[in-house]
This record gives sequence, C-alpha cells and structure tokens, in this order.
Amino acid sequence: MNDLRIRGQVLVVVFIAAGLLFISRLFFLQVWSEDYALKSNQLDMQKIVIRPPRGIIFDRNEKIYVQNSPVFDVIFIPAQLYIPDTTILEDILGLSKEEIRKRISKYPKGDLERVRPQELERQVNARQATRLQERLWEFKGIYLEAKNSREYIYPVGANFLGYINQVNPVDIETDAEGYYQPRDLIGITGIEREYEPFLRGKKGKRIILVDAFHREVGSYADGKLDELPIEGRDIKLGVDAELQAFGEALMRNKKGSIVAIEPATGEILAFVSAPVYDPNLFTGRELGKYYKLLEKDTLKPLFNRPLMAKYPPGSVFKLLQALAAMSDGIITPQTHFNCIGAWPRNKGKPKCHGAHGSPELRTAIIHSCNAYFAETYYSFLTHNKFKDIHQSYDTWWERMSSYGSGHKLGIDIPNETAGNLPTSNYYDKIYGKKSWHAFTVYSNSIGQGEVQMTPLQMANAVALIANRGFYVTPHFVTEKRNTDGSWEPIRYEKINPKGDTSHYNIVVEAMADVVSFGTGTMAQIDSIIVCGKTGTAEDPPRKDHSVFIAFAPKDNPKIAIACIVENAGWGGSWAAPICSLMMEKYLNRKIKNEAKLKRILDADFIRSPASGGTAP
Amino acid sequence: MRKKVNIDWITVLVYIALVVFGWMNIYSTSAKDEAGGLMSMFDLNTYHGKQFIFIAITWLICGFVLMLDTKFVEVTSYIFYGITIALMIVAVFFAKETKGASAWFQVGGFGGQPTEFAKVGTLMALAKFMSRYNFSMKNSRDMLIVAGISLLPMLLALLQNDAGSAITFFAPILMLYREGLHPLFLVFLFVSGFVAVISIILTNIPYISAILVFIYFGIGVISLYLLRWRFLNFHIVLFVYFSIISLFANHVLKDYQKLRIRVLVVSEETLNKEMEEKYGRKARGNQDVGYQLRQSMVAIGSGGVWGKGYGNATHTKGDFVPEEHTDYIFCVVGEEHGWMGSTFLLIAYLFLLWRMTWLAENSKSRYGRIYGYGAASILFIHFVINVGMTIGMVPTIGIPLPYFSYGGSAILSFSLMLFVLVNLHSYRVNILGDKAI
Repeated sequence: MNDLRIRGQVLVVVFIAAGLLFISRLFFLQVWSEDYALKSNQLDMQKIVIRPPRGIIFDRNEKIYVQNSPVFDVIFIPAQLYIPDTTILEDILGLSKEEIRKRISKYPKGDLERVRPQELERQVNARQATRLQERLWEFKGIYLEAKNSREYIYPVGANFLGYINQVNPVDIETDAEGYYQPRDLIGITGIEREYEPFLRGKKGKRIILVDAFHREVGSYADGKLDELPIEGRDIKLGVDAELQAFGEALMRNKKGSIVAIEPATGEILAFVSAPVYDPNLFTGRELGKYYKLLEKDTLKPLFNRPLMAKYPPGSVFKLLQALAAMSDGIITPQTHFNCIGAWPRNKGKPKCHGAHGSPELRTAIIHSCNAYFAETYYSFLTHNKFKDIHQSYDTWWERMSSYGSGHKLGIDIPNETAGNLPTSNYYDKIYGKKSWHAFTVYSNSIGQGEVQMTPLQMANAVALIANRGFYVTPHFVTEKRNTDGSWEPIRYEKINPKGDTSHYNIVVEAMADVVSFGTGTMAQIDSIIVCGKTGTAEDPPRKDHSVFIAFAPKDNPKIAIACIVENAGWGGSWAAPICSLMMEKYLNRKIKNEAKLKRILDADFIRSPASGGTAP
Repeated sequence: MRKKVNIDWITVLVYIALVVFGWMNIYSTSAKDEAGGLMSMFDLNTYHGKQFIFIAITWLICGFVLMLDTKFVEVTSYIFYGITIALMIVAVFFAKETKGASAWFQVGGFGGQPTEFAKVGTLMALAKFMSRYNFSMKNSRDMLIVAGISLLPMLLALLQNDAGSAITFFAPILMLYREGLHPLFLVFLFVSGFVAVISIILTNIPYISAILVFIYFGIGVISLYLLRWRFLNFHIVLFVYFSIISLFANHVLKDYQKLRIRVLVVSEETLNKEMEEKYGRKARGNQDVGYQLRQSMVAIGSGGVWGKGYGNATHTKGDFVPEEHTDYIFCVVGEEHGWMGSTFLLIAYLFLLWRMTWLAENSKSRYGRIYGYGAASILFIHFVINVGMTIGMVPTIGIPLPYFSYGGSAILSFSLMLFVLVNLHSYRVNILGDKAI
C-alpha cells in the first residue's frame, strides 16, 4: 500500500515537471526572445476593404441621371507613419503644415487604434490622387483609399434624390446587420436613403500579406478568405430629368413647388422645391460647409416643400368637395344654390368674387363660387339622413380622406407630411362635444381654416380626377435592376375611392371650361385641351399664394400637375402659366409661346416682390 | 443524522479564483466592440454575457452536488455513465457540425456537448467498477472491462470526428498507474507516442516503418522478458493496442493532423517546398497550418514580463488569433498579463492538481481515491494539451482549458467533476465518526 502511495507522489512530480517546462518555455517566449514581441507590433496581414460602385440612377427616358465619380480618401496608419517632409502633402492637399500636424496627432489613442487606418483628408479628386500616388514612396504609412462619390449629370432634383455622406457613429451603432464601418458612405436623405441597401451593394475584402515594410507580398491563404464585392443595383425613376430641370428654371427667384404626376401610373414626373440648390454641392469634401450655409438661408432651400410644406388648398379643395357631395347624394350636377356675392345663410360669410345668382355645379366650379360650396357643405352636414353632426362630419371626413388628403400617401422617400384634415374628435376637443355645428366649420368647404394639403397631395388629387376615380400611390422609383441585368418593375398600390365615376366627368368638364374661358385661361396650350382649376391660398399678412392644378390632355391624360408660388398673388396669373409651360414641355418637348416663357423666367418674387403684382 | 463538515474550502476557493479570472479574460476578448465602447456585462448576445449565465447555472448545480449523499454518487455511477454514453450516440447521429466535429447537439433551446459530460461519467464508472471488493489488476477479465469502459466513449468521440476529445480518454492510465499498473506500460505509452511522431516526421527516410516496427517490437519483447512473462494478460493487450496506434498513426491521421505535428519540428521552407511538390502550386501550407500557432506564440510572446495590461490584448483581438475566447484563451492571459500572470495561472493549476491528488489520497473510500486520481488525470491532460498547444510544444488539438475557456458544457462538466470529488472527500470524517461510535 505504501508503495502505491508513493506512486501518487510520482504523479504530482510529473505534474510539476510539466508545469515547470511550460513556465520555462513561456520565459523563453515572453522574456528572453525579443522576436515575438517585435512581430506583434508589425501587421503581417492587412485587410483591404473593396467598396463596390453604387447603383446608377436613371430617369424615365433611361438617361443616366446620377452616376459615380471616383474619389480618394488619404489615410494613414499611425504605427507605420513616417513623413520626412510635409511640403509635398501641403502642396498636393492644399493644407498648411500646422493642419497636417494637427490631423496626424488627432486620432483616438490606444494600441488598437495605432494599427487602424485613420483619415488624413477625405475625398480628394482623381487629379490630386494621381499626383499623390506618384510621391507616396517618399512616406511610410500613408495610403489612398478609393471610393465612389456621386456625380449628377442633371444637376437638379437635390430635394428628392438626397445625398450620400460618410456614415456617422450613431448609424454604425444602430445598424443591426453590422455592415457599416468608419469611412463608408451611406445615403442620408431622399432616394439615396430609402434605397440604401439596394443601391450600396455589398463590400468585399481582400486579405494580403505584407512584409516588414508593408509591401504586398501576396494574398493570404491563396485568397480563400477574400470576398468579391457585389455591385450596387441600378434603379430607374419616373422623373423626367429634363422636365425637372425646366421646372427648376421656371421657379428661379420664386418660393414654392411643382409636382407633376403621370396619372395612370402614379409616377412622379417632376418634383420641384424652390429655391433650388445644386446637388453637386453635396458631393465633395466641402459638404459640411455648404450644408451649414443652406441650413442658415432664410429662404429654407433644404425644406422639401412639395413633400413637407402645408398650405390651405383653397378652391382646389372645392373639386373634392363636389365629388364627396355627389357621391353621398347631397347634390346632383343640376342642383342650384343662391349666391348674393356671399353665402346668404351665414351673415354674408364667406364672401364671393361676385354675385353669381343661382349657379348649378358646373358654373359654380368655373366661377369658384364660395357660396355654392358653403351651402353644399352645409347641406351635407345637416342632411336628415344622418343622426347628428358627428355622423355626417365623419362621413364627409371618410370621403375626403379617401381622396388622399389628411394622411401620408406613402411616397418612397422619407419625411412625408400628412397635411391636415381635422377629425370630429378635434372639434370635440376645441368646442366641446355638443357645441359645434355646420356654421363652426364652414370654411373647410372652400379649403380654408384648418384644412391643409401638401403640393404632393394636391397633385395626387388631380391625378385622381384625371383618372376619373382612382390613383396609384405616387412614387419616384419605377424599376430596379436585377442581378442578371434585367429591369424589374415595382408594383404600387392602386386606390379606388368609393363613388360613381360619372361624377368625375362633370368635374372634368368644368375644369376644361375653367381653362377655356374661366379663371385659368393662362393655362391654355395650342391644340391640347387642358383642364385646370385656380386656387388662392391666404397667407396673411403677406400676399396670397398662387395655386393652380391641372391635367392634360382632357381625354387619356398624360400629366397631372400642381403648382404653388408662395406670396405671388392670384392663382390664374402665375401658377397657371407655369403649369401650362410644364405640360407643354412634357407633351410637346418644346415651348411655342416664348413671351409667356420669358415672363415667367423673369418674374422675381424674392428680390423684388412688387414685380409679381403687375397683371399680365 | 450525519453532518457534512469536511468540505475542502481551499479547493473550492482556488476553483472560484480560476473561474472568475477565466471569465475576466473572456470579457476582455468580447467586451470591446468595433467602435471601442464597452458593452454591458450581461448582454446575452456576447460571449461574456452567456458565460456569466453558464457560470451561474454551474454554481447552482455544484452547490446541489455538495449537498448530495456520497453514497448517492456512488450508486448512480453506472446510470450517469449510461446516460452520457447514450447522449454521445445520439450526438453521432443527430448532432450538428461545428468546426468539423459533430460533437454538439441541440434539444429544444438547449445545446451541449455530451462528450464533456462523458468524461465525468467514465470516471465514475471506472471508480465504481474498480472499487468492487474482488477487483484485481491481475485479472485479465477485469482489466478488459476497464479498457472497455474508457474505449467506448473514445470510439464515439472519434465517430464524431472529435479526435481531440478522444485523446483525453487516455488520461485514466495515470490513475491506473497509481492503482498498480506496471510502470513499464507508461514507458510503452511514451515510446509508442514517440514512435508515432517519428514516423510522421521522418517521412523521407526509406523503410522507416519497417525499421520502427523492428525497434518497437524489440523493446516490447525485452520489457516482457523483464517482467518474466509473469502475467500475459491486460498488459499484453495494452502493449498490442499502443503498438497498433503508433504504427498506423502515419496512415490513419489526416494530412492536416500530421501537418499540425510536423509544423512544430520541420522548418517552414521544407514544408512549403513539400506542399509545392505535392499540390503543384505555390501553396502556403505552413501558413495555413502554422498560422494559428505562429500568431498565438506572437501574441503570448508580445506580453513580455508584465503583459500589456487588462483589456489591451491588441494582437489577440486584432483577429490574428482564432478562437481566442475558447481554445486559445491562454493567449489573452499571456498577452495581457505577461510572464508573471501566465506563471501565476500555471501555478494555480498545479496547486489544484496537487490538491486533487491530496483529496483522493485522503478519501477513505476506494471509490473516492480512484475517482480523484482519474479527475486529476483528466484535468492534467487538458492542461498540458491546451497550454502546450498555444506555446508550440504540443500539436494543435482543439480542447478547452478547464474552468477558463468559453463554453457551457465545458464549465459545467469540469466543475461537476471537481465538486463530486469534494463531495466524496467531505464524508471522510463521518465515516470515521460512525465507526468510532
């Protein structure tokens, strides 16, 4: 037994011997030999990120609208850095010695950061990069990193295209996929943001072996760990880039919006937010500087008006009002109401532009008779088929909502605004549950008061009328490119508000009359029947906004449009001709009446607001 | 009523220190994200967060084990062995593959590696069988059963393509030595391992296999003569068994396994040249196989005397060392805590090993002693292979560092192994006490 006990001690000796062997081996590795300590300070593998080109954006005529332009980041790896003389860098990058020194010493400290690439200068152009490339051998630890910036063939549409910029730390942290790394580019707003995962493609990587001087000596493991980048996929817009450019020219020196939609498909043809700015401003490394300038501008060029600005829709709203009343059987096209230059039922409010006698619906639309629509609305809300004002108001609200007002339409760019279509709850809160009635809310009938619509919603309402009873969710992107190169159309929802389509015909007829002999004669185009409606949105104490909506041709319409020129006055004199020019440009590709064009191009409501007041 | 008074708190304290230090190292590898910010300690999407849960569960179970009746452990030995073997069989058929081995399987939301638990099961079964009153090391039938008990899980591990775990089932031979196995057979084991390695390394010498067979059997016959042919029983079986393993190692092992051995000895140029001849391309065979080894040695070597400090394992975390939270966790210790830290850790393991043999020796039941030495042997082989591999003294074999590496099954099974021993030891006084009264 004792003999075997000794064996246990022999085992302990074996354990200790192995331990001592390890400890001495560790002493050799960690203390004695400097070889290993040195090796850890130099990278022998280097990961190179390959960023694929971003998807190209085409316009509706398959012309390249937005493409890529190569730019280069100048980066440095602190652990390797050796700069004998900064004059070359000063010369090529246009930086002062102090600035270069500051940037090189400004990186997060820590051993890990010492071996990670840091930024010296972002987005230098190809010429600078070529010059620098030739001299790089004079330095150690400075590299050029290629990536793709954007280039706008048509420098228009900055408001909906959005832009790309270096990804910020917050985006990196919140990205569930963990895709983004510092210095990657990411879509910030607009289409670039909405279609980011699609446009960006997928980064690739290459792992190379480098020697002590960081020269590439081959790929690691025969490239088994390398990944090829996947190119970003292209998209096609419904926007007509030339029409967009034309629209932006027309809106020069004005504030406002133009939205043009192809009624049958819901494709947006033009989407102008004035004042405009050149999207190319946001492509270079001065992006931050320009952004700040534009942000400070009192005219708010960064405010995407067609999407986010809310206006009282004015008499444009009366068309929807007529449709709602006819659908619920409140009026027929033959219904007459009295007009005495004001609405007789409510102490002469609202006023009218003249005494229209006893107009029927078509005449009322042509003359934009406030009294007629106030009475229509009154009849609606007090109709004896509803049990109380709540029921009648909610029915009316449902109708108007189904025409695309008061809620987001679901356009494919971020930051859409819902406009405002007050609910009965809203009035309950303000006035108390039983204390409001038709006279309280009568101004809704003529598109004043609480009712607000965005230019996009107005254009969409026109598309609804042009289509005689449906609209397709308005959208920019129509098709996306598959990996095999074919185009795949994107399907959008078609919305059919309830109601008889014959009601639309009477509205369309009246709109045709508005342009041929009513308030919108300035929207006429030779040999094309245009249907339109003027509007005037109040903006006290300033001058009214000039509003016009239209579509053309009357049969089988190709374009529906809404235009708002802020503080320009009467709808017929400014917004109407702008709409007609846009439609003519789109349908005929050229403008016949050059005097009309010149008058609009010359009009200036920003520097000399007075000039806008002169009647044609 | 019996009282449990004799829990060996020294063992428990050393164990807790190892587990806590291990968790700190896992935290160091997984706590820093790309942006350099610290993540929550209990984030369950991280390794350290999960390990925290594993440790908590393990400690609960271990506390329970301490309260068990010693007899209960003994009585359930075969049952526990049977269950773990059954789970291993299930794993062979239904397991999902991780890192090429199908040792991991999942039931519902819970997954685990049955092989880890089979190590404890095997020890218990061996201890149970060998503590029978009529058991004799000289009885061939008994010894064949002993061999069978440990060969069965080894075979199953091999079927799971998990050669690393299979090797660990050799460990109980140290315990058999303590129980009376002739020391010459440790020499057999050593020589056969040596022969296997030589036959793999010296492939360019003609007739190397024939020469080795000759030498090997020569040694065998001389050894048996020295034993005066006293018992042609289990010893012969062992001898033949080792012979077969060593002689066929060169044919049985896969190319990459042989490379792992050769990379320790043969120079880089030679290996590259060979690969080029064999595969006809500019292969970087040594870079593939030797890469992990080189990087882990560089990581440890760069630690210096005092290390780079906690959380600063730049080389390990720069994705140069693979599996840094599991099999290569020792790199983190080496890089962050240097020679002093590594030595301290090794001494802690040695202390624990010694203490386990002490517990075994001082447990009055035969079962406890056999089990204790077995547990120490298993811990020792893991310790030698894992640490030895990271510092280039042992071929790359993927097995965890007990109490240290990330992994729920590993921490639970190794803790169980230890706490069963503490439990067995804790009853010593009571048994005496019973007799005294």
